[in-house]
Amino acid sequence: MFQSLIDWLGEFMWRPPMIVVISLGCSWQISACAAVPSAGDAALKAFLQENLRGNPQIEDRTTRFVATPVSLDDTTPMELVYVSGQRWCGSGGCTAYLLKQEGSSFKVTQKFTLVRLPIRVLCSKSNGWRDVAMWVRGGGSSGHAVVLRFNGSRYPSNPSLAPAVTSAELAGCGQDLALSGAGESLYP
Amino acid sequence: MGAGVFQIDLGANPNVTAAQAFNVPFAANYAAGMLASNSAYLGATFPNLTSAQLLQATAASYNFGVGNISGNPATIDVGSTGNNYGSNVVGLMSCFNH
Repeated sequence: MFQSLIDWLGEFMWRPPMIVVISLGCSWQISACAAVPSAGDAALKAFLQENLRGNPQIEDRTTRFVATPVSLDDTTPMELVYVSGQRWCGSGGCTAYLLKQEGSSFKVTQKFTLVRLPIRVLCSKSNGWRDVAMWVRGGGSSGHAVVLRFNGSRYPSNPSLAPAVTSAELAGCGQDLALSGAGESLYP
Repeated sequence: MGAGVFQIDLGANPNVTAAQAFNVPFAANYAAGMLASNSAYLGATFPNLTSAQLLQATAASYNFGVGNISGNPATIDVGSTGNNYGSNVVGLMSCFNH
């Protein structure tokens, strides 16, 4: 499956980010290169358990999550959380949240549906926030990459309605977020 | 990533193999099971939905996950592909009734 993903990405000229960084000399980096456990992991898991509970009378054993720190405005520390499982995914993709830490808990800054990995944070900005590239595929939509641009108050939450990104934009300066589809189980 | 005619997400459904997802009879049965499960979840969670709204919500949930259905009849499809996935599927169903 990994090889087929690489082949598919290759069709869209998605270059390995390290090559892009070297060839373009981009010095910008997002705040994390790997999803590593942090002191806030327990608080994050508790927040997600509380907010993604849904109908508590119907057991959910499939939800998983993986998070990575990111600062899309280059100032505010945030967490980008990719949520998968039968409850949060469909033929069009899965769900992601952009969270901001508030005290010992978190606040949802933005929710995204129809999310497919990888998510790429571009060096370009709109209204002071990094542009974000995502893949749209399935659910009747042909496979293509789109760019989500901050409009001053939020990003578009539905990638299927976002404008397609050109190969040049996609291959330009930016970095894939370190998120994997496996993640950690949200419930015991 | 969605696989096969029924676009079964193998990551979200680890009990399904790629070969099974591309096997149309298997995938059709599996997808029907998911739709039935989603419909039961939505019916229990949002008893205010009419049968038509429940059908639309079930179709939409197949696209972006049952957890993303808000229960508000006015915004059932918001967040789905094109923001109209459920209503689009329901509309297409009428094509098969003739």
